[in-house]
Amino acid sequence: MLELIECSAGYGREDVLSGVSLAVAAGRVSCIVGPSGCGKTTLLMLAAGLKAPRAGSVRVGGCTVSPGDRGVGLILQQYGLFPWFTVRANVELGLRIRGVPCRERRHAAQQEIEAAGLAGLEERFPRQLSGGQQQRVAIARAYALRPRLLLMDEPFSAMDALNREALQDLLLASARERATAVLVVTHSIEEAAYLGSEIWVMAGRPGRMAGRVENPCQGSPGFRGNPELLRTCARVRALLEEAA
Amino acid sequence: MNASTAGRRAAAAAGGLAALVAAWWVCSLLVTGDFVPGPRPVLVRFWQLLCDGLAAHAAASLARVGAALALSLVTAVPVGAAVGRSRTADRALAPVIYLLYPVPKIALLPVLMLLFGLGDPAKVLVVYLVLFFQLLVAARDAAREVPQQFLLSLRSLGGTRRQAARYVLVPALVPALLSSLRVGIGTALAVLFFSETFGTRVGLGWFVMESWMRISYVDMFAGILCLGLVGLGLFLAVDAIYRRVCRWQGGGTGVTAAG
Repeated sequence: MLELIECSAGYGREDVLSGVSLAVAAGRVSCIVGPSGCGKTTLLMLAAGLKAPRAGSVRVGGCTVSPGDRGVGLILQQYGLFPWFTVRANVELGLRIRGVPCRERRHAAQQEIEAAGLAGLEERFPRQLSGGQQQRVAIARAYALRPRLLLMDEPFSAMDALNREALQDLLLASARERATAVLVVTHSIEEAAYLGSEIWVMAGRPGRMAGRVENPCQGSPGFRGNPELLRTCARVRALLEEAA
Repeated sequence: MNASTAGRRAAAAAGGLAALVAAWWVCSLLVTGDFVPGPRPVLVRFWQLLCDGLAAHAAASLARVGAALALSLVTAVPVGAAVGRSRTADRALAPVIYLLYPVPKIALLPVLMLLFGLGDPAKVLVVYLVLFFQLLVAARDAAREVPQQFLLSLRSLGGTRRQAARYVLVPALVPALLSSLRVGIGTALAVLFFSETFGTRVGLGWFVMESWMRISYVDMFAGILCLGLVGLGLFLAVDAIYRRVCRWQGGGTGVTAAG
C-alpha cells in the first residue's frame, strides 16, 4: 500500500531522514516508534505527499504520491481541525473541496460522525470539544474521503488513559471494518505494541530505520492483558536502546 | 443570556449614558456664553433637524465611509494575506508599508483633490487610505500567525491554494480584521470630518462647520451628536458581524459584548 524506498529528506541545511525504507501492507495497522527528533513526522509528510524526498521514492498503491491524494488521509498531532467550522463542516470539508453535492456530502458526513460516536455534537465548534472528541472529528473527517491509507501523528498522546484506550480501540475496529491501512507515529512503546501488527523502530539524527518488530498477536481478543504484548514491548525497547 | 443579566446590562448602559448627559449639562452651566448649549435644546433641535436635512447629511457621510470600508477590505485583505504568507513579498513590501503607514493620510488630501477633483472620490480615497494601511497590517500579522497545521491539513484533504485562501486564510483573518476596523472607524470618521469641510455641501463635516460659521451652536452640537450616533452605529454593526461570524471564538468585546 505504502512504500518508502531509501528516502532522505531535510529542511534547509538540516538532514532529517537518511535512507529510510518502510512498507505498509494494505489493510494493516503499522506503527513507527522512535525518540523525538528522529524524523517521524517528516516521514508522514513524505507519505502524504506534502513534502518531496531529496532522494529515494515514495509510492502509494504502486504510484508516486501527490499532495491531496484522495487515497491518503492525514491526521496531524493537533488534529488539524479548523476552529471556525463546526464538527459537521469539518467532516464535510474534504468532500466539499472535491465538489461533492451538498446533500450527498451531508449524508456521508453524518454517517462518519455517528460511526465516530459524535452524534449530537454536529453543530459544536472544536473549541467546545474535549481532546478525545476532537480526535474523533479528525478521524471522521479523514474517513469521509474513504482513504486506503490513514496516516496519524501522535494521535492519542494528549489524552487521559481511559480516553486513549477507547480511541485506540475505535481506531483498530474502524480500520478492520474498512480494510484501511493505518500508519501511526508514536513515541510510546506500549501504544505501538498495542496498535501495530508491525512496529518500525527509528533512531538517530538524521533519522534512520533501526529495525522492525512483528507483532503477530496484535488485535487478538483481550490483547491489552496478553503477555505477548509485554514481550513485543521488550523487543521494541531493546531495539531502541541498541540504536541509541 | 437570561432576562436578569439583560436587565442589568441595560441598566448599566443607561447609567453610563445618564452620567455622560449629566456631565454635559454641568459643562453647559459652567461655561459662560452660549457656545456650550445644554442637552435639552440640542436634543430638541436634533430631532427637528433630523427630518430637515440632517439625516441626508448623515447618509452622505455614511455612504463615503461605507465606500471606503468596502474598498479597503477588498484590497487590503488579499495584499495583507500575501505579504503575511510569503517571505519574499514581505521583504519587498515591509519597508514600503512602514514608510507609508505613519504618514497622516489627511496630509495627502490636497494632492488627492488635485488628482480626483473636489468631489466624493477624493474624500472616499483619503478615508480609504487610512483604513487600508490599518487593515493591511492587521491582515498581514494575522496571516503570519495562521498555524501551519491548518494549511497542511487542507492540502491533505485535497485543497488547492485558492481553497486554502477561502477555507483557512480568510476565516482566520476575520477576527483580527474586525478588531482593527473597530479602531479604524474612529480615525476614519475624524479624517472624513476634515475632508468634508472642503468642496462639498453635504455631509456631517460640512454641516457642523457651517453651523459654526452661522454661530448656531445648538445646530453645531446637534451635528456632533449625529456624528457620534453614526460612529455608534458603525461600532454596533462591526460587533454584530463579529458575533455572527466569529461565534467559533467564543466570548468577545465591544459595545455589546457577548458573554
